[in-house]
Amino acid sequence: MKEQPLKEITQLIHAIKVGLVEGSYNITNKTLDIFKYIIMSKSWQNADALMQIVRDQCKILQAALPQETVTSNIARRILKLTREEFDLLHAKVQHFADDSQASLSLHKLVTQTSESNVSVDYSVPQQGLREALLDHLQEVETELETSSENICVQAEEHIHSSEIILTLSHSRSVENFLKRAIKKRQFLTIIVAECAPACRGHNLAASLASEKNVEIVVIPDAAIFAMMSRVNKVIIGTHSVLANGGLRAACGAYTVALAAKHYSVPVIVLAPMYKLSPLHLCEQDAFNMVGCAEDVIPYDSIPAREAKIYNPMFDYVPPELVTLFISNTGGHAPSYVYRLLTELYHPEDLEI
Amino acid sequence: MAQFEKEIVQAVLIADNNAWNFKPLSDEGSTALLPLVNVRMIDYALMALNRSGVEEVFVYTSLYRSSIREHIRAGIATDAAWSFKMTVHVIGDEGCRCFGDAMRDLDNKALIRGNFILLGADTVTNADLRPVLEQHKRQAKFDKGTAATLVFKECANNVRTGNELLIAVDRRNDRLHYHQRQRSHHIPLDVFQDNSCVALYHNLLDPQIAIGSLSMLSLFNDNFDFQTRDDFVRGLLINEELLDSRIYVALLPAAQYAHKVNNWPAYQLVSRDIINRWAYPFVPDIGLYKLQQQYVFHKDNIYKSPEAHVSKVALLQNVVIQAGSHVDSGSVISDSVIGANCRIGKKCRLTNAFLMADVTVMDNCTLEHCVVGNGAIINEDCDVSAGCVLGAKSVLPAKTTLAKTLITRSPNRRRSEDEVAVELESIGPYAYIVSDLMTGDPEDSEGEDLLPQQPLSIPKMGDLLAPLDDNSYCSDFSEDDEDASRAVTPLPDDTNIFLGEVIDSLTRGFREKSNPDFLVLEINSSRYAYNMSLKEVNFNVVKAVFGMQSIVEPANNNVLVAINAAFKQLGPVVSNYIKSEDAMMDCLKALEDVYEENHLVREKISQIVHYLYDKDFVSESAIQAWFEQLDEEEHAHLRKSLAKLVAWLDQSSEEDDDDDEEDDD
Repeated sequence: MKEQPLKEITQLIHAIKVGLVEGSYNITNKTLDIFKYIIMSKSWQNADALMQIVRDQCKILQAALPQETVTSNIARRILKLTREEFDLLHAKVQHFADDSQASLSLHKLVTQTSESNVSVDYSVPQQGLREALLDHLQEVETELETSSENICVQAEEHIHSSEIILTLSHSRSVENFLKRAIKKRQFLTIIVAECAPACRGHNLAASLASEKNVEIVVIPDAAIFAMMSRVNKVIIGTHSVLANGGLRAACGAYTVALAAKHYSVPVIVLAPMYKLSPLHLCEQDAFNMVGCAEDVIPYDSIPAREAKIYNPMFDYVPPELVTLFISNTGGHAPSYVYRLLTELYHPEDLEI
Repeated sequence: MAQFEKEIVQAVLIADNNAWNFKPLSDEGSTALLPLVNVRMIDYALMALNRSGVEEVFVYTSLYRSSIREHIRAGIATDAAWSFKMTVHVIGDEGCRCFGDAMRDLDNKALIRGNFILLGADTVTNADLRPVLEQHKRQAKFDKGTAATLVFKECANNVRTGNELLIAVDRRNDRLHYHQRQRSHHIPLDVFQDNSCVALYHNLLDPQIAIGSLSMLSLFNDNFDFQTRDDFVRGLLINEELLDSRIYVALLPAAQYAHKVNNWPAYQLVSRDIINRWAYPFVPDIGLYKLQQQYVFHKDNIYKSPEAHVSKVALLQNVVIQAGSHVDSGSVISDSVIGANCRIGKKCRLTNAFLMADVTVMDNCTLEHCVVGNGAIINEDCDVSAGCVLGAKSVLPAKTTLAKTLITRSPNRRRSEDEVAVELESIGPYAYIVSDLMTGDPEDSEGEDLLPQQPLSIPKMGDLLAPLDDNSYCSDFSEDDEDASRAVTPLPDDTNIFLGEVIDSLTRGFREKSNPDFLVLEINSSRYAYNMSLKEVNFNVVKAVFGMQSIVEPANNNVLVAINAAFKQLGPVVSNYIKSEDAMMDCLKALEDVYEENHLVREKISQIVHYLYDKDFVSESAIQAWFEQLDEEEHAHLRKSLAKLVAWLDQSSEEDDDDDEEDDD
């Protein structure tokens, strides 16, 4: 029953585990490449077979890297795409006599509901499916490529001159977003929480400091609450967005969000669409990833012998602490995430 | 063209180490395949190499080549994490008995093309060895005689595993000047005399990682007496100019973990470190060997496979439970590792227990600090504790209480040839007690660290935290060592060898009545060979004369006649060395030593001293000075026997003085 993983998949898993491929964007890109390769390969004859392959490989990815949700997200996108394309082509054949536009009309879509209960047989070979899919994949790729840029464009709307912005750790989206804001706006002050023990906040501060006309302040995590009273906006990135609008974000994000709540500072989260995952927070233990104990306390120290040391990677931030999501398609409230998910993925693919 | 060929990073992995320390499990399979937190030890080493960018690995093994080859093949088939971008070859030779043989064999096969990483299969490290390799390459460019770079890790002073050592390093170029397993702290003076900037490290852990140059292999080939890596290091340090090779040292940064698993306490320590995530990313929930993640991480460092059935069980802390295992209600487990498909009954208590695959533990058992091999069965109400090891498939009868015992399944195990098959004590139809005393040949096991000081029994597991209070296995065992070394106090090797050679020369010279000048020449050449100081030579020559067979066992027990005969022939040799007052003092000190050892000499000591005085080997002032510094209590008997002689000497010298005075008048 167990499907053999493709060579590309195992290589990707290995690369991610070893740390050769980092960052959600890169992981998404690589995963998309693999699925594109699967679609181009001749190993499938009909939509059903293709969907099965995608599902199997996605399961393998999930089992190996349960924390990297973007891989399954992209698989869901592919599945949805396959369904749509198949339906479209199928409809074209069915209603060949009709005006092909008619089958897509709003009226048709609304009245179709009773019809769509009839399950579609995806195992019927469909001419031109491969080409249509590859066409659409191109769109997905472009969307992926421009997602960062599309988010950045909105920087001007959210950041105004002489504001004080707080962020933490180092997110690439946030980095680009802030850089754009610095170019357009004057007298900004950006406070970066360093996010110990990895202290990736230092990298962000160093990168931003190369820009002109901006004041960068790096603070320890303990000072987040103290600084919050002066902050106008909190802008953070996230690892993924859960189905309820909550975040799985870098450790420390919860501290920031709670402090922001206390001082009524808006929390803006930059999340490209591929980070939206139809998952709920259920098993708290499996939710997090725990890193190396060495970062927290030296191995040779005496307390290290007896202490239990945790170095969690993520924080869960509940949706009520998030003010706004900024994705490549615009701003959304956390309560709207469920709607985005239904648009993005097919309901049957939520469980892969 | 050459620069277009990319240099492949190669590594050599030595499997089958420490077989002795892992008895009885090492009798049943390779130690490299022992599971450490449910992953075979060799996988950790391979993974470490893979992470360091190694592209080609030679696993060198002698005893269990086929099983290791099988394991490597299975690993590649199941996409083990190390199988990417890395080719693994299993090589080896049945005749290979030690590390040195492996190196020589590698040299003969000419598989290694450049600098290579050398690692033991029992090493667990998350270190990136690339910087060390770079350092080695830089060094090799600068110094053509670079043979190897040894990699060490600084460790805390409070936990001892027996892998610590003492080294002296030149601070300016990281060159190794002195290397010693930590037992005693003797550092030769010339280390400081010849180098202006020396750093001593006494708290280093040796994780058995090294970077070797091509010349390292050929050095092994040139020097057949190099058995272990330590031999190699020692040999190179002693004959630095002769071999024109140097060893350098690299220390791992504090944040990188490195440890060697060469005995059960180390096994326990490293297991705990892995579970406590010190060796990140080598943690149980990363999926080291299989692609899938096998555990879910819960708080208190509990790793539970989703396919394990553990209900109504108290999992206290640091527990790993593999897929397919079943633990019944009421059991309490802490600090333990449970392999695949184990069954544990009701109300068991497991603390620091390491269960491999398919183990069955019946109800009401207590397991503490023990290792249970594959497929073993422990029946009801057993109490197993304090470093017990149960071999694969052994069956422990109900209500057994065991401590510090090694158990194996069958009595007729394969034994070394020179040993008579020992009847093993039986405690059940499938349980026999293995003696862990040093019966076999310890060198058998390719032991890198099997020094003569090795304690008699295998180090056992115990409480790891205790070293802080100084009363655990570690400190015990270091105290034992101290006691042992105090009791025996063997002379440094070179001196002993030198003494032996001088005795040989003298005996031959005495028997063949050869020219004393030749004997002096012979002794002098031995002296330079062993780098003896003049004082030592004086001392040893006299000792050698008295150590000759004819004096130790004289005819008719008449030692004086024998001594007379010996000195008649060898007198010129002795007087060649014993010229100054200092030399006479050395001579008498030697006599003091002989006095302790030879009872015949003891009886006649005053006559012998008198004889030496008569024949002008020693002057009266030397005898008096010697007598003065003899300890009153320790040498009471010797003083008593000499008192008369010294009194007479005093008297005669006064008389002489008187005579002189009279003459003057």
